[in-house]
Amino acid sequence: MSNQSDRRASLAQGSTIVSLAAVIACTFASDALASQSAAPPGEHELAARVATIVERIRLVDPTLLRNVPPELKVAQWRNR
Amino acid sequence: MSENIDTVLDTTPPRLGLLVLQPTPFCNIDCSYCYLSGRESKATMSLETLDLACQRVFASPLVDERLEVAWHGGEPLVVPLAWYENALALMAKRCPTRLRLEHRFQTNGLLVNDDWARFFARTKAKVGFSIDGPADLHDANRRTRRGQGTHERVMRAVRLLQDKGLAFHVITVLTERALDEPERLFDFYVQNGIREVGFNIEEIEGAHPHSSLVGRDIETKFRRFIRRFFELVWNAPNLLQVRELESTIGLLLANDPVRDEQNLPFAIVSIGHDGTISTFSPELLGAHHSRFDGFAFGNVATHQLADIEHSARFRSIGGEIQQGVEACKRTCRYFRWCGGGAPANKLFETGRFDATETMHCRLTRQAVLDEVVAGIEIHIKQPKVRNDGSYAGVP
Repeated sequence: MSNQSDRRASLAQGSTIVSLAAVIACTFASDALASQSAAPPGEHELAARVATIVERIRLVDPTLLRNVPPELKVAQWRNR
Repeated sequence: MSENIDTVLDTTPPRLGLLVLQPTPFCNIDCSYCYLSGRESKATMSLETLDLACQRVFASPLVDERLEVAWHGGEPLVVPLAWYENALALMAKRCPTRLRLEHRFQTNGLLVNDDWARFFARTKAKVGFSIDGPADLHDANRRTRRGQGTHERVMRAVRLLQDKGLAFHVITVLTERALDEPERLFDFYVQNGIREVGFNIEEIEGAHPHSSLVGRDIETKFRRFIRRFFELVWNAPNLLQVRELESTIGLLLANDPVRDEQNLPFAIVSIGHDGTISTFSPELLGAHHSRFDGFAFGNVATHQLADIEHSARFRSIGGEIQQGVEACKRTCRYFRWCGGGAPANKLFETGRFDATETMHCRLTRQAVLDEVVAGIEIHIKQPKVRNDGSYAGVP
């Protein structure tokens, strides 16, 4: 993908402008598989639904999974 | 309980990542939902106490290369700027060379002026303003002790930092009334150049034993709010970064089950103006509860951090917190992405740390995760638009 490295850089820097939500949105906007294999909402248990989303991201751009800032992997105190 | 504490507590060595310092419990305003019981006290932390705090914390093997320092009151800016000049110089002097400090101020913004702005710029401190959206929503709860709204003054502080090119984020407390207005809130942030926002909820905590968000019908409204806000953010990429959406996506993408820093002893250390040391949820600092004789586990004047884990109070509270985490793990389908909820909310909603579900976790963890997952799924399912306007995969 042409903008892959830009997205990786944004993630790694924890930019205040480029958000994860936007990165994921862009990923799916250019995802050739997007209309083919998604499970209907509510059909699977939560874990399976999350796994589907993660797998889709892995297929489109595995670097997104590797470059999530570590502070986003821990539930953090919210008053900061 | 104490004899088998090591088998109950998570013994994975934590990293001390957040130091919450309370320069004063005093606040210059009187928000209707505030949980702090001592916010009329004008006591302040002495530099001697701060010096001892630095020595205790910096000597701890739990600190590694980076430590976030949150100056959290009361209202931290009621303490004179000159005090912070000395305080940060002292901390820099005591700080080991391997350690990088990142200062954060969470403020109501009323006292921000040019001098504070220069200080924030020079120290690279991160600033968070507490703003509940447009004036009518904000002023409904965030008032002076004379009952006057504070919106105009905090927005003046916003413009001051913007004029100087300084970044900041906003924390908004959601009450029932705000849940009806996601579009208005979104527009407010965007129109005022606010790029980062975090949503707290009106919590049942400490001195605030009630919340407008209690009730299953409110949960429906809250879900609708998150769903709509997710759409607004998704459809306008990079206009606004919402902490809850960012953190939830981060947790979804994490390979391992999430842990919550509030459930890990010493991942957060809170030090009160008088040198009191606490850990787990920062809201426990200075809080009162009938089941416990306070949540002070020591004092910087007399205790190293390592001393604390041997205290009976720490072992009792820590054990009960861990039992609550274990109960969440056994019973809650959200556990993998939550880490067991917030101890302070469990205590103040249910009276116990070993409880499981709370209003706080239903809204801030379960509902947010459900809506983010559903929101992403909707977009996965949407057919892609071809250049000619037709849909890929649709005849």
